[in-house]
Amino acid sequence: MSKYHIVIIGSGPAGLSAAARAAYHDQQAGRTEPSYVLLEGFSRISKTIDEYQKGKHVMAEPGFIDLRSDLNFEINTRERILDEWNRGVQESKVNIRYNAEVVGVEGSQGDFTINLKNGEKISAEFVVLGIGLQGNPRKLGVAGEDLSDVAYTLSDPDEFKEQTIVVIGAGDAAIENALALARNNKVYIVNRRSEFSRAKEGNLNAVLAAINNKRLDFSCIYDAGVSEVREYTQDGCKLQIDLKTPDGLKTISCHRVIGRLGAIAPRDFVEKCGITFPSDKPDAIPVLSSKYESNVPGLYIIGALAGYPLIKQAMNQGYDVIEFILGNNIRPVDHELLAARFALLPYHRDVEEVIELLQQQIPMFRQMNALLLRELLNESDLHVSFPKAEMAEAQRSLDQLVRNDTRGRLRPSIAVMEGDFLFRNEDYSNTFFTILEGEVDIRVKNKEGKYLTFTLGPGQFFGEMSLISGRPRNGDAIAKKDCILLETPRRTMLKLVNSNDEIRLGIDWVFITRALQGFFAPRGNVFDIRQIAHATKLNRYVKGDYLYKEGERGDKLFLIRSGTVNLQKNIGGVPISLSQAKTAQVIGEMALLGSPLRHESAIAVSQVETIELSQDALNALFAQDEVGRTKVEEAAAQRLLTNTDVQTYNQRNNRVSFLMDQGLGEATNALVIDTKLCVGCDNCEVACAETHGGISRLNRKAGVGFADLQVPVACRHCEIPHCMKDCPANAIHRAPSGEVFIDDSCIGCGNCESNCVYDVIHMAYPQREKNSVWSWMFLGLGSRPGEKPVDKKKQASEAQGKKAVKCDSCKDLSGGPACVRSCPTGAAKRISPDQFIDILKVQ
Amino acid sequence: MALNKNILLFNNSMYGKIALGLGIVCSGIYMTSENPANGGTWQGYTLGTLGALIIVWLTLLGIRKRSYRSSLGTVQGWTSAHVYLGLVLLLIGTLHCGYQFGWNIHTLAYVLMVIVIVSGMYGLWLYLMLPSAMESNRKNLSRENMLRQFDSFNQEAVIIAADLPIEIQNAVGSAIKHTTLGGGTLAQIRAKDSSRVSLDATAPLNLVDNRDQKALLSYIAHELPKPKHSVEQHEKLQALLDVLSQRKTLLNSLRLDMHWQTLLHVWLVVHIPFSIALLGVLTAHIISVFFYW
Repeated sequence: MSKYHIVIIGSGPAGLSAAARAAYHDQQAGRTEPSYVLLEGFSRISKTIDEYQKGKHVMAEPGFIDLRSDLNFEINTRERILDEWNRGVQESKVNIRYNAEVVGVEGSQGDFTINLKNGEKISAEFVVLGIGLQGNPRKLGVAGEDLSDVAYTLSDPDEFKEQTIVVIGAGDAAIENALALARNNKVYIVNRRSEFSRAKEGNLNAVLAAINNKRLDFSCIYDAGVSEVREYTQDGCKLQIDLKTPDGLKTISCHRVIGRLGAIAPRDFVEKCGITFPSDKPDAIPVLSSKYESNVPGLYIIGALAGYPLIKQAMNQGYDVIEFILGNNIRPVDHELLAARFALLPYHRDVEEVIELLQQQIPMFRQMNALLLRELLNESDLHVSFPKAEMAEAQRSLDQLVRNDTRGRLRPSIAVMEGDFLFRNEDYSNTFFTILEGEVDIRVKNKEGKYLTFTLGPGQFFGEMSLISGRPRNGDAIAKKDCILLETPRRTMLKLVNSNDEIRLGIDWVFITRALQGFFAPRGNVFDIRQIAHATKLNRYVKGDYLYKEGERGDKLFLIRSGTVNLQKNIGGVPISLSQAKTAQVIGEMALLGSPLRHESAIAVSQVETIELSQDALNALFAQDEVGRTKVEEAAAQRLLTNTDVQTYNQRNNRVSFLMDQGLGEATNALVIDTKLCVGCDNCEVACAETHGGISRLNRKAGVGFADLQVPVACRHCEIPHCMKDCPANAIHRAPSGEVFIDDSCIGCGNCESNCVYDVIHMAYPQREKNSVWSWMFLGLGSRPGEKPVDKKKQASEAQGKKAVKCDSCKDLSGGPACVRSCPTGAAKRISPDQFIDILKVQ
Repeated sequence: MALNKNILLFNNSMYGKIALGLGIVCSGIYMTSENPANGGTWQGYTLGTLGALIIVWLTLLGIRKRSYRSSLGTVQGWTSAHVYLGLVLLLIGTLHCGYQFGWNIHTLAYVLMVIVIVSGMYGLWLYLMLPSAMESNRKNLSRENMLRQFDSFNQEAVIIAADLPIEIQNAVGSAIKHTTLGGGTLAQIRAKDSSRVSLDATAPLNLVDNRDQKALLSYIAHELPKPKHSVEQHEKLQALLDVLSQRKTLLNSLRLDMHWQTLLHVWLVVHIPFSIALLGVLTAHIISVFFYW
C-alpha cells in the first residue's frame, strides 16, 4: 500500500492548484519522492471544465479578488485554460494519477485509507476532497424529465443546427449554452425570475445583448417554470414543453430541452466518508471550518463541494489548504480587503475571528457558509458610529489607510457620528442594513405628527421595505452609540435572497411582521404578531391581474407590499377608476367589515405583491391594538368618500383611467401637458435639451392625448424602475429625492433602453458644452442661442461611443425640472399619483 | 395643482393685483399735478422713469425664457407678470405724456409702445382662446398623425376608385392632385382653400373650383343614383363618398390647425421687432429729453 502525507482527490481547479502547491513545497524541501498524490478518476485533468462546451469563454470572477496559485488562470477560452494548466502540471512535475477513481475514504487524521475502484488502497495522513459537483445535475423535477431529448449537459453546440431548443435556467451554464446554440438554432431561455441576478457580469451582458439582437432568433421567457415535458412528433419536432408564465400556460414545440439548473453534491459518497451535512436540503453544503476542514479531522473540502463554484476562488482554496495542512497559517487572499473593511471595529481581533464572531452573533449569517459571508462583507459597506469627539480621530485613521493603499483597491469602513441619520423618511434608497453591534433607532411619524420610535438591536435588520417595494423609506434610521452596521447594495442582496431560501423566507417573515405591526398594531406584541404573520399569505400578480372582481363575495383583505392597484367600478357599463392603492395601503377591507360583496374591482397596474389576511388574522390583529380597527375603519370610510367624489367628477370622462393606461400607476413623478393651455411652443423640449447636453429627453408631440391631458414620451421615474434591472455597470441610481438617473459609469450596453416599457431612454453621443444666450446675442457665437459654429469635439465625443440618456428630473438644478419652469403658459406639469384626484376636480 | 388655470389666474392673479395697485398709485400721482400735465413735471419724470423701467423689464422676458437653468421664478410666473405689467404700462405711458402728442420722437416712442402692447393683447387673446379650440379641433391627434391620416384617406380613395369607371378615377385623382393645403406663412394664415379639380376626363387641364371639395363630392353624389352602375359599383361609390367626406372634414381641421398654429407664432413677428424698435426709440427719447433740461 503506497503511503502519502497528503492525498488530493479530484483534479479540478481546486485539486490542481493544491497539487501544484504541494509540488512547490516538495521542491523547496528537496524531496525526490513526492509527499502527495493527486487522484483523478478520468484520463485528463479537470473533467468538468473539459466537458464545457467547445470554445467556451471561462470567466475570472470575482474581479476584486487576486489569484493566488502556482498555476495561471485568467479569462480565456476553455481550450487555452486547459492547455495552460497542462503545461503548469508538467512544469512543476505534479504527481498525478489518472484513471484512479476513488470509491471511499476511511479513517481520520494521520490514518486515512483511500479505496480505489480497481481495489488498490492508498494510505494518507491528510485528505483534500476537491471532487466538485460534476455528474450530479439537478433535474427538471416534472413529468418527462428523463425523456431522451431532455439533456443536462451540452459539450458541442455545433452538433445542432436549425432546431428549436429550450434551455431551462438562468445561471452561467444556461446562458452560455443558450448563446452558443443560438448561432444556428432558434433558442428560448426560460428564467424562473424576472432578472438574471445569478449570472456573472460578462454573461449578463451577453445574454441581454442577445435578447435585444433582432438578428438572432433568441428569446427569454421570464418568470416562468416548467410544468411538463412530453413526446410530440408533429411538425418535425420531438418534444413539447409546457411553461407556466405570468401570461398563463405557454406551450412550445421543440427538438430538444436542455436543463441547466446547477448540480447537487454527490451526497452519498461524501456522507460515506463520515462528513455530515447541516440539513437534508439537496443544496446543503457540508459544515467546514474557516480552514476548509470538515467534521472529520484531517479531511479537507475545497471548491464547488465546499459551496463555492467559482474557479478563481477554488484555486485560491487549493493553495491555502496545502499551506494550512503544512501548518503555515497564511491569510486568505481577501484578507487585506476585509482588514480595511474592519478597520474601525473595536474588536482588535484578526479578520477570521471577526468573521467567526459575526457568524455566531447574527442569525442571518448562520445560514451562510464562511465564504458566502466573506463575499457579502466584501460587497457591502461597514458603518461604525462614534461620538462627536472621536469622529475626527476615526476619519484620520481612515484617511491614513486610503493614503497607504497604493493600488487603490481598499474600501475601508465608514465612520458615522452618533445620532446621525442613516437614511431619512421619504428617501429613495434601497440598500439593506444589518446591525452587527449596538442599536439603531427607527423613528416613524404617525398621523398626529408624533414620533413612534422602535429600537433595533444586534442581529436585527432593517431597510427591507424599500428593498422589496421600491418605495421611499418609511421613517428615519438613526445610528446610536457604538453601533456597527453592514449596508448591503440591492443587487447583492437580491442575489443572496434568490440563492438562499432560508434567508428569503426570514426576510419575508420580518417584512410581513413589521408591515402588519406598522399598519394594524403599532403597540402590539411583536411575538404575537410574528405568529399572526405566519398565518398570512404572500401573493404575486402581474400587470392586468385581478385581485378581486366587482360583484364577487370576498373574505380577504390585502395589504399591498409592492406595486400599484387600480380600483375601478362599472358605472353605466363603463369602467371608471375610483382610486389607486399603493404600497402599505389596505384594500378589500370592506369584505371583513361586514359587507362581503365586492363593490369594485382591484386590478394590478404593475407587478404587485400583497399580504393576504383572513378574518381570523385580522381579528387577532385587532385584539393586539384597538388602533388597528379604528385605522382600518377610517381608511374604509375615506375611500368610500373619495369614491363618491370621483363618481361625480368622473362621469363625463375618465381621465384617471387614461393615465393608468399610460402606465402612470407605477409612476412617482410624471410629466403631463394640459392641452387647454399648451400653445405648442415646444419650449419644454428646448429647455430639456439646453439643460441636458443638447438632447431633449422628452418628446411632447409623440405623446398620447385624452380629453385635455397629454402624456408626453418622458420618464415617469417608476416605483420599481424597469431600467434599473440588469444594468451591468450599476450606473442607474435613484436619488434620495426619487429621481432615477444614469451616471457617468454607463457603458452604453442599451439594456435600459430595451427594458424601459415607456420608450423614454435613448442611446446618444455625449454632447459638448454650449454657449450661453448672452454670447450668442453679443458676440454672435453660434447660429442659435447656445449653438457652436464648429463642433470641434464631435469626433472625440463619438469616439467614446453612445451612452444612455434619460430624464433626471433636473435633480441638479436648484429650481427643479426645466421643462415645467420654462413653460410660458403653465401647461407642462409634473404630477405624482397622489395628485390624480386633484386633476379630476376640474369640471 | 389644478388643470386649466391660465396665466391670468397664475398665483391667484397676484401680478394683476400688483398691476392694479400700480395703476391706482400712478393715477394718484397724475392727479397731484397742478400744472398742465406734462412729461417734464416731477410727476412726469416719476411716471416716465417707472414706465421705462417696466419696458426694460418686460423685454427681459425674452432672456429669462432662454435662461433654462435659471431658478428665478418660473417662465409662467414671468409671463403672467409680463401680461399685467404690460397692460398697466399703457396707462402709465399715457399718464406720463399727459395726452400731449406731436410729430416727434417722443410720440413715436409712445406709438411704438402702443403697437407692442396691442400686439401683446392680441397674443394674449390667442394664448387664452386657441389651445382649447385647437384641442377640440385636433381631437387628440398630433399634426403628424393628422397628415398621416390624410395620406391614408387619399390612398384609400384611389384604391376604391380603381374599381370604378375611368371618369370617376380621373376625378378622384385630379382632386387629390389639385387639393391645396398649407403653403407659406401668409397662405397658412389666410387658410384659403384654392383646391381645384377636373371633372372632365377628356380635358384634365380644365380645372374648376373645388373649394371645400364641394365639386368632387357633388359629382360623386350625382353619379350614385345613376342606373348605369352595377350593385357592386354602387357600394364602391357609397364607400368612396364616405372616405371623401371624412377626408374633407380632416382637410378642414388641418387647415384650421395650421391657421391657428401660425397665428400663435406670427403675432410675435410684430411684437418682438417693435419691442426692440421701442427700446431704441425710448433710448433716443430719454437722451433727447436731457437736452431740454
